[in-house]
Amino acid sequence: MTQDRSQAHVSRRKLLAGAAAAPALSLATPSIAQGTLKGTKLTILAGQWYVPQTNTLLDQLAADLARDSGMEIRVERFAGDELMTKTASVIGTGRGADLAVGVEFDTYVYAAKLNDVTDLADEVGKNYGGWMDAAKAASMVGGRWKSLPIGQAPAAWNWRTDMFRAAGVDKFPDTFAGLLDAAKKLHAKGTPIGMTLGHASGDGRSTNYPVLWAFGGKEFEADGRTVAINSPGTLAAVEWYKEIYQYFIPGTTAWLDPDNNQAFLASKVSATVNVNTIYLASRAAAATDAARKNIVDNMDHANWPSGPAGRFANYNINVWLPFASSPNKAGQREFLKAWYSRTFLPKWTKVGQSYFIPQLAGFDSEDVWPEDPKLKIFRDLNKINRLPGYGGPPTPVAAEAVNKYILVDMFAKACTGQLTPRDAVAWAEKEYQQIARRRSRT
Amino acid sequence: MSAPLAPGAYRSHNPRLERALFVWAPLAFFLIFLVGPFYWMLITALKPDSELYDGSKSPLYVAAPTLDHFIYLFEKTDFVTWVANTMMVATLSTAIALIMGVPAGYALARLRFRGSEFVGTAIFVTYLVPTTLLFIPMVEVMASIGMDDTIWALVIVYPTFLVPFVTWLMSGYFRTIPSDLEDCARIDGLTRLGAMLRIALPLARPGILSAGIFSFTLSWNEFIYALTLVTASAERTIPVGVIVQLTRADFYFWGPLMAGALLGSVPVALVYSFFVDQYASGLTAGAVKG
Repeated sequence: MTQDRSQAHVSRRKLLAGAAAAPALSLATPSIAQGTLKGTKLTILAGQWYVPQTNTLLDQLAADLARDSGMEIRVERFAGDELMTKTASVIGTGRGADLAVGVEFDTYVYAAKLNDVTDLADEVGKNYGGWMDAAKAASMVGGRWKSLPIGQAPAAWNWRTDMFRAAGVDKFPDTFAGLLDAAKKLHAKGTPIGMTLGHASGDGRSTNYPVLWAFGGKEFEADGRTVAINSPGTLAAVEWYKEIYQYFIPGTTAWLDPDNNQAFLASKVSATVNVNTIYLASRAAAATDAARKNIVDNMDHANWPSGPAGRFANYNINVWLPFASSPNKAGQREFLKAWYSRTFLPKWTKVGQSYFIPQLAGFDSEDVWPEDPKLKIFRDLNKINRLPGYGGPPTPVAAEAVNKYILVDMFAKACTGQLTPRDAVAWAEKEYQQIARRRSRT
Repeated sequence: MSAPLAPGAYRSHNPRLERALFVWAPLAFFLIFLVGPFYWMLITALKPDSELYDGSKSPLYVAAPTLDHFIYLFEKTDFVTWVANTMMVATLSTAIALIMGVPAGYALARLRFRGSEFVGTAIFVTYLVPTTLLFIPMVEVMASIGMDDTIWALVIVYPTFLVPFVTWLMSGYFRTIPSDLEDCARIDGLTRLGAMLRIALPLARPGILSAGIFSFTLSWNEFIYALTLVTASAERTIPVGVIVQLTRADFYFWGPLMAGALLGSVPVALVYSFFVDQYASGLTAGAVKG
């Protein structure tokens, strides 16, 4: 996408000036930016973040850096799943881009083809009160930072307070037994709940991993290699799922990422697990659309219920992937420094309305949180993310299992009666072992 | 048990009922099956958002149609550019495929040379290799000849699967044309090339049109190569452009998406409708018609 210079608000000079006031910053050192990158090119692959202003700010940052450094910068956007294909193509061929927005798996799947950015990560961590555990898990491989975390999109229970009240449930359940009971009552009232059991790249994970963990199930032992899915905890999770599935809206096994949004916006479901995009979309349209205003007035967000093993969550994480094949390593670093500068990152986080939140501990006490009371909960949700593979470290095996939707299919096979809960767990175990065996050979 | 039927009962029939059962019912079924998706696209494109997300309303009709989604498509996205790009790529790659594939098909059908059967099979097998396996090597090949990140790469790459397809289809078609016709022409003084150009090709016109229409449609709808070989947004084709600019995270702009899908299918529908007679005879006719 060609950058529109007339849109520029955050100039590189302003960035540098602001950064100079902040402590510690080679992030702000005007080392290369003053023209030595002239003639170089930087192609950045990005997605479409839900909040449009966050996309605009990225474009502005690129335009300002291009103007001040003399580097030619292109930001090219692709939709989520297509961005993953494009990234795979760049990794495979070494052509097409210098930097990309990736997901956390990309770091450990492609680690050998990414530049080491440990020094930058250390500086950013120092400036913002340290990285949270989920950030380290997402971006560190073998003790080195091979990507830089952008943020995570906390998924919460989106629920209709009016529908719950009408069914005799005054607050969102705090236990899985309570959630099952509420689902029964809501189903009887004709306002069922729905949890994504389809191959949705975002919601498929964020909806199903927390259930597994809450009942004490896990995919791997602490070594990250030994498959541990076949356990009483997993079986309990599957049995709970099979029971609550009877009270879902029909069709959840075919749900992709947009489907639960759509069902909630059409008031067909009373609760679902999603990031805050349902609320943000409703709020944006509320002034002109009475149905959306009704949703804004009558919905809220809630944390996961607590299970026998505790309360867990899983969110999508975005990271910057610095491709080792890039001929413009200096340009990559300049861009990343600008991104994490004090004049840019807090502003980007604030306009993002807690849709994507950087996993930086120091942000908890900074003015980066939305004022809207219905978005307050995301500040706390930001602290409890776990990555797939939890129990052990995140690994390419865990990543492949996510991409093959093994866990989602395990629940779905049991829910639809295709397999008994015990057989569904055994099926999943076989799938995990197959992936682990193959990966151990490569 | 029911009473036995009276003699002659099987002979008595109701022509209206028969027509309804054996003509109109199957026709209605196929009409719904084939037109259904287009109807769905049309009504979704015409619905205002408030109606799209109103679960209490029937999804099969539009209460308050609007052109907002079409306006959005033309004013807020690069749809016109995508259409121009797609048209250019589909037309050129189809032309290349026909220029190379028709003579190749003729050669496989008519010329006797060692290994001709193997070559024919090999060409067909090439067509069967999925693009998901080929796209990374293909990006490398294009990059090595300086054709990465340009729409012209698609014009070169698409014939790699179109030429085998056209060759395979045309070799089959040429085999249905009696070679006696060309033999007579050669006895009358035409060369092999002349016989091909003046006798075989005119007779194979329906087959060539069928191959062209299929090739055009395949190029028009192709996604993986268009995604991986082209990065610049100004050079994207419809299938890639629409999905990128009309989705945002887990939110799909269904109205403009359906408007784009509907309008994107119009050129293909026009191509089919212009050549439908020839296309149908291409599928059914032999060489010597009365």
